[in-house]
Amino acid sequence: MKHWEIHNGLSAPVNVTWEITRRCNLSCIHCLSNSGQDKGEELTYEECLYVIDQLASNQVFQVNFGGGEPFLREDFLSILNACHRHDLVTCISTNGTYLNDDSLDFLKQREMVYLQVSMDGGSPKTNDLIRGMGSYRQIVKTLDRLNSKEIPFSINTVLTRLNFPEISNLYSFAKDHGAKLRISRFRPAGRGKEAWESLRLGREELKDFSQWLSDHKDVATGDSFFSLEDEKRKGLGLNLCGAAKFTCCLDPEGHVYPCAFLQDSLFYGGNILNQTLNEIWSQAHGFNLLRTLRVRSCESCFRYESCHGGCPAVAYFMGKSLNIPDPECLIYCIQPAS
Amino acid sequence: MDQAYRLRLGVRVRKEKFGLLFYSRNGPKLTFVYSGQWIRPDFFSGRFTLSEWLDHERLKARKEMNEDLLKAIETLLSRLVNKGLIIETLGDP
Repeated sequence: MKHWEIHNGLSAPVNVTWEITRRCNLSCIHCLSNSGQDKGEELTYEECLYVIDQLASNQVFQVNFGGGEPFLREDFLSILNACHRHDLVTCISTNGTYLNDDSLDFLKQREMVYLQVSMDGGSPKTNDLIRGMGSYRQIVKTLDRLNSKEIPFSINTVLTRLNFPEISNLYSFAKDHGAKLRISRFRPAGRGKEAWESLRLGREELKDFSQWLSDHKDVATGDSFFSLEDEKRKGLGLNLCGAAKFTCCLDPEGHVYPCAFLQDSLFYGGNILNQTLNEIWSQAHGFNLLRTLRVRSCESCFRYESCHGGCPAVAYFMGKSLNIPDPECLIYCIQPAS
Repeated sequence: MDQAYRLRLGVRVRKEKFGLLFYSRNGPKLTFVYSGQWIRPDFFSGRFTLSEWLDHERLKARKEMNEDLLKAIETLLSRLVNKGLIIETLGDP
């Protein structure tokens, strides 16, 4: 698939990541949004309805809810309802420890919901080291309840040095629960900045993971590993960063950024309560910056068409520059460091 | 030419500069269709046959439609049917 039409930016986002709250009952060491007990400012229910109107009028197709833990918002089911009334497909990323019977009954009745439950280890020890004591047991309990109610879900794992050795266990665990495994890339955002050096994978591990992904084509990646994927996975997803091209991110206060991992003043687009989504999407400097970005040093690489320079968020936060290659690309892993 | 078309359940479409962008819940999620300006999302309401639609478009754009273009549109619609994005319908009586 050629992607010139995406490089130039579509007329509106295809999907929007919406961090609906910063509240969370867990305190994961890699949390991209630094979520925790503090509620902070967040959009009111009426403001959320206004946002949903904006998304619908811009013909956004899908909303990916995250946080924080979305189910901690007392009005979350009503927010989902409003999305579905506007024909917006919803995907919910949950830590799986706060789903009550009402939520399960709601999910059971809905076709327009994809549910992702986070789990960061193939053993209680590893998972709890990352997500907090006792969380593994709680997650498994929730997965069993989802299974008993025949509610489909996927298991989402953020790949780190701690859980990499257990990735095959996680794959089997997901299969045993009738779920698809989705592996997301760990990035230096939120608390992930502090944990970056201790949790990120080394070159050999990244190379091994690239091979593992090739051997497990049924594992989803949310297009977060295109800089690492080899030829065998070609065509399974996008081959470039979608930030400001077909996706953007809304934070709990309504601030709009190109991506959840690019929540930095350089990329800030505006607040959806003060400007329309269309204005932000089409005019924001940070958004147009990403659309015109060409990583020149990568253009002569034989893998350029497979990754277009990789993830700008990792490059930016590691090198404080956008015009450098993704420091974790496959070439970096297979060639000796210069 | 006497067929009308509508979107399958779980499919949405919107207009883009290059033509049409389809989104399907049934996967694969996105389909980019380089259809130019002749077919717009409201064609897939199922209310117009292709010939009715093109007559309307010809008048509006004051342009002639050649055989090659017509064939390309028919082929495109047939591919979209095969991809499971749209279904044939008889249109409004």
